[in-house]
Formats: sequence, C-alpha cells, structure tokens
Amino acid sequence: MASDQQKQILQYLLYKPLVSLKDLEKIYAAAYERQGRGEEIRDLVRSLNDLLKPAQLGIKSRLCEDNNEEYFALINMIESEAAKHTSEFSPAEFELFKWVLKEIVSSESGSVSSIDCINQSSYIQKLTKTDAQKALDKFLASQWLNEREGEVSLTVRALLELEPLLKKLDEDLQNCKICNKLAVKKVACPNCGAKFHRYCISKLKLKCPACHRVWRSLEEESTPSQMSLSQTLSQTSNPSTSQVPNRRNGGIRRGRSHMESDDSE
Amino acid sequence: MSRRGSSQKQSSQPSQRNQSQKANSSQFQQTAQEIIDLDRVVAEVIQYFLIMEQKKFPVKRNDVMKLVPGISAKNFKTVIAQAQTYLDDVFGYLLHEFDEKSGHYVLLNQVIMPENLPHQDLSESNTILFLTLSAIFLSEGCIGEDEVWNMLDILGYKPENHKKLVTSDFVRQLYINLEVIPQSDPPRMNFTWGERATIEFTKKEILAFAAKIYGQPPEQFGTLWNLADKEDKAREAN
Repeated sequence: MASDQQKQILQYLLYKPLVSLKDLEKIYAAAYERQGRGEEIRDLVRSLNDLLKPAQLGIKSRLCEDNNEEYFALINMIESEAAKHTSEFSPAEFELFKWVLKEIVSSESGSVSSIDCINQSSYIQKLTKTDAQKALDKFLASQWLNEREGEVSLTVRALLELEPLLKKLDEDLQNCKICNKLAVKKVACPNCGAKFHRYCISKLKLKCPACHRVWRSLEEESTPSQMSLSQTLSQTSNPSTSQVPNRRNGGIRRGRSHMESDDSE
Repeated sequence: MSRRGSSQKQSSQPSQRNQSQKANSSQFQQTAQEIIDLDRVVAEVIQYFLIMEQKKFPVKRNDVMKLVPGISAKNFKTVIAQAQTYLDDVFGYLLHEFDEKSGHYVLLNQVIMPENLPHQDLSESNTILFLTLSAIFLSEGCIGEDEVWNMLDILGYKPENHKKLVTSDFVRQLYINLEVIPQSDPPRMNFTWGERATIEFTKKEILAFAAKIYGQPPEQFGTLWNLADKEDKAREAN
C-alpha cells in the first residue's frame, strides 16, 4: 500500500516519465514538503520499484550521454502487447520514429539533424512536412528524443526502454566497454576499434582498456567535419545545458583532453 | 485410467510408468503456470488502464478482451478485481465502471496533488473543457453548438481550431454528449454533459469556475446554485 506522497510521485512520473536527479529532488520536496536527505532519494526509488513490480513497471537510471548527469525513467519492464496497440503515434508517425532511431544509432555522433527528419516525410506515405514537424514535436514532448541546436538525439528514457528495438535497428550497436551501458554517442579506439563513451574513456585518461593503447586525444579519429555540436557540448565539464562553450575549433590537440585539466599526473 | 487435467498446455505423452503421478504433477504445474500467467495478465491490464488514462480515453471491456493476451471470460472478473485493488493501493486511482452491460471504465483520481507537482497538462484543452461544461450547466443541461462556438470565440478561442477537440476528443473521452437536433437543416447539434463529466466534476466545481468568469459569487446563480447544493448533500448522504 503506497503512502499519499508515493502515490503523488507515481502519478507525476506517469505524466513525465523522465526526470533528472535534480528534478527528483524537487519532486521529493514537493511531495514530502521538505528536502530529501542523503540516501532518502535512493530509498524512495527503491520503495517505488517494490510497489511497481506487480505492474511490471520500474524506475531505472543511467547517465546521460550528453552531460554525464544521472537521469531516472519510469519504464515498461515487459514488451506489453496492449501498450503496442495503444501507441500514441499513428502508423506514419511511427515509421518516421523508427527511421529517426535508426539514423541516430547508426551514426557516430548519435544524432540526426531535425531538418533531415522533416524531409524524410517525402518517403513516408500519408506524412506531409507539417505532419512530420508535428510528429517530431510529439517525440520531444513525450521525452523519447532531445533536440539541441538542430540535432536530434535519444533521451535516457529511450536508451533505457527501447534498447531491444535499438539493437534490432543496428546490429553493430554495442555497450561501452567501460561502463557496460549502451553506447549510442560513441568514440572508437583508433587501434582496436572498441567503442566507448567520451566520458568513460576520458576518466581512464584515454587509455584503451582493451588494447592498452593511449589515445593522443579524443579527436584522433574524427575529421573536423565530423565534429558536430553535440560532441563539442559533451566535452564541457559544466553540466548546465543552457551554456554553449566557446571552444576553439582547434582540431587535433596533443596531450590530455579538455576533461582532464583538473587531474594531476 | 490416468487423469489428465483439462490442460490447455498439453505436453508430449507421459511415460507409461507412474502415469497417474505424472498427471497429478502436470496438473499442479499447469495450475502453477496459470497462476504465474495470471500475474502477467494483471500487469498488462494495469498498464493498459494507465496508458489510456493518460489520454483520458475510457477503456472498453471488449478492447481489454481483444488486446490483453491471456485474458478470458473465465478470468476476467478476477483480473479486473486485482487490477482495481492495485490501481487504488499504489496509484490512488479508483476504477469506475459505467454501464454493466457494455462495460467501459475510467480511472478517477483520488489523490490530491500538491500545487507544485503538476501531473497533467493544465493547458488550453482543460480550460476549453471547463468553459464548455459551464456553458452547458448554465443552460440548464443542454446548449446548442452555435452558442458554444460564440462563447469560445469571444474568449479568444477560434472555433475552427477547437472544433475537433470539442466534438471529437471530448465526446470520445465521455466528457460531452452530442445530439443532432431533429429536423435541423443544416444539421446542428446540442451538447449535454457526458457520463465522465458527471462522475469527475461536481456541479459546485463547475459553478465556481463559471462564477469566476462572470465575476459573480456562485450563490447568486439561483436555481443552478440550488442544484449544485442538492447534489453535494446527496453525495454526502451516500
């Protein structure tokens, strides 16, 4: 039996299934009328998961590939038949959605431009450009996709709940060899090709755990044209999403990456 | 002769030896499997109700029978009862059934959400819904569509933009009923409150909303205030 506060929080999560850790702290404070101390947020998630088990729902968390912050998502733990039939998207919209997912996972940057998404409507029956724009807005509002500076990428919700579908859309999709979570925004070791998150390999000071080669920089394998804005943004140590760093477009740099400036060696 | 239970999941032939023992254990397994599957069926039904509730669409019994694997006429009542208990215990939703015959359900929220924790889009559609319901109520329960379009227009909601919302979505969500006025040419429609509106909102709530729009305290609405008051007293008595 859930307490009133737990019911309130669960109802909120039905409405907004994806929340950051900071959001969750605010939600806790709204329901319990005080700040959550230390482990209380984790305990909350644990107790909610116990309550959610009979419904085959669960709150999972992982780090966001853009800013390395922890996000929580209320997801479906089963491939629910009924859920498939009550999809919020029309068949044409769903076709666009799958195309967007496929483009995202097959790219290194883990993103696709929103303009390309809209233009894809030419290849989908019963979908005009206006429909495509509306569909894209729907995908953003329902927290499956993010858009920043014209580039569309996956939210943590999509990474957590759609993993089986994503792996079907691209057979090469792998987990990051360091954190073992799905790596959609990835970099590959120039020596052995193993795939990692930028944050993960940066933490290991660019030494590949598979072949032990130390990369010269995170940019080694990318040509300047591949440096998309999302890659630039993910290198900032400031988690605030409203800031766009003024990074010198300097291409290859020797020595440690931007991330390592705080560490001594 | 050995008993074989009325198993839907007949496995391959049991061996000759200890056939009756095997039949008993396979019956036990079958019952255990039915119980495990039932949990899964209940989970699917719970999820279906929750998804439909987000859209505010009523759930039809026929759709549940069609879409949820493992549900049957036999286990329907049990499954719904379990789902009902769960939805109340964990989410604070009351499962309400309209019309025992054709059977459709909505979820009614029993939980008061704190103001700084929004749980639905308090958006334009909600405002338009309340405006329409108020207009119907102030018209003693039935109002012609043209008056509704006029009212919305005056308040800045262009009818062309919201016709589908009012005549299609709200009707599907059981908030509003449409009736074609007989012998009207071109056909015009009357609006009345739908069953969901009757269950979900009190007349007092709607009157309070209308009072704000008209800048007049609810008590000054004469017979309508009396109606709202009577309804309140009837609810308390139950």
